[in-house]
Amino acid sequence: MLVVTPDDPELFALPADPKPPIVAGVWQQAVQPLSVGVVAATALAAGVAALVARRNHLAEVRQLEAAATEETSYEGP
Amino acid sequence: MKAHEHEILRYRRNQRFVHALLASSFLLLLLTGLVLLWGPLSFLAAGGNSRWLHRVGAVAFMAVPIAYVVADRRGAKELLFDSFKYDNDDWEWIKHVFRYTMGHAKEMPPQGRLNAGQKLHHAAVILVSAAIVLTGLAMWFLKPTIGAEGTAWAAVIHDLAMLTLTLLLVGHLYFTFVYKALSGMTSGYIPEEEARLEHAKWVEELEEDGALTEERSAAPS
Repeated sequence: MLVVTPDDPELFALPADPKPPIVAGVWQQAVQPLSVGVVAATALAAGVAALVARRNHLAEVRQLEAAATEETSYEGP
Repeated sequence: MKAHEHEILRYRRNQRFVHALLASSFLLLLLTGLVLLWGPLSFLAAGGNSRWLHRVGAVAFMAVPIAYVVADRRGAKELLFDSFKYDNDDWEWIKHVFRYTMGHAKEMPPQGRLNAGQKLHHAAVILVSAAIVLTGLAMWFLKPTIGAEGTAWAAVIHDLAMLTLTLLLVGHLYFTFVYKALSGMTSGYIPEEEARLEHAKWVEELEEDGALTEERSAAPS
């Protein structure tokens, strides 16, 4: 926020030498860039792992389907 | 006989509506929030559209629990209680979570309607969403009361909470893709074979209640 005063700020109940809170600097300099980096890295790692995991799961489902088919087509001795 | 011949109703229509409301409001908040905060996208904030869109998203996001209670009281109650209730099978499941993460569901401990990972996900979404709403409301209405320092803290917590929800979203999409779970939120039905594999205790409960036969007959062909 920008405040333009025609006289000294103290006359308008404003601080003479305003400084942004330290936490605002931490937020802009660290939290925001770190957040973007963490999300990007997680999405990338998840994307790669998902390809492997999906292949594993599909193989597992195929195995179950084969077993189910075998079970239903078995007519006994 | 094909193994996927049968399907089970996993999410009722109203539950799917609430999920869609949550997803769309969250994405609107995420995108407009990024425009407000992230330098490379700040040119989109010109004119103030992103600001009021963010507030529209916020109102929709806050409406989600109310909409859930109105649309499906039983579903909302089950979700709330199930998300914070863990039995021994759940703890065993959590111990072997890496195995499940890599696509192996076969030898995991039997799970109810929600597996332990889904319970943890939902619990985290509920708690983190509460933090987002409280800090968001503070920044929206209480700026003069909490001052610059308080507003800066609220912004930090708001951003970290949103980061957590975004990471949870990545995980949510990951498991949806790996376990082909999208049909549960589009048609509401999932293959019975998959349900037996991942939610054995739930399918057993349905069988005991006789609900499985009803749902099979109601499933779209």
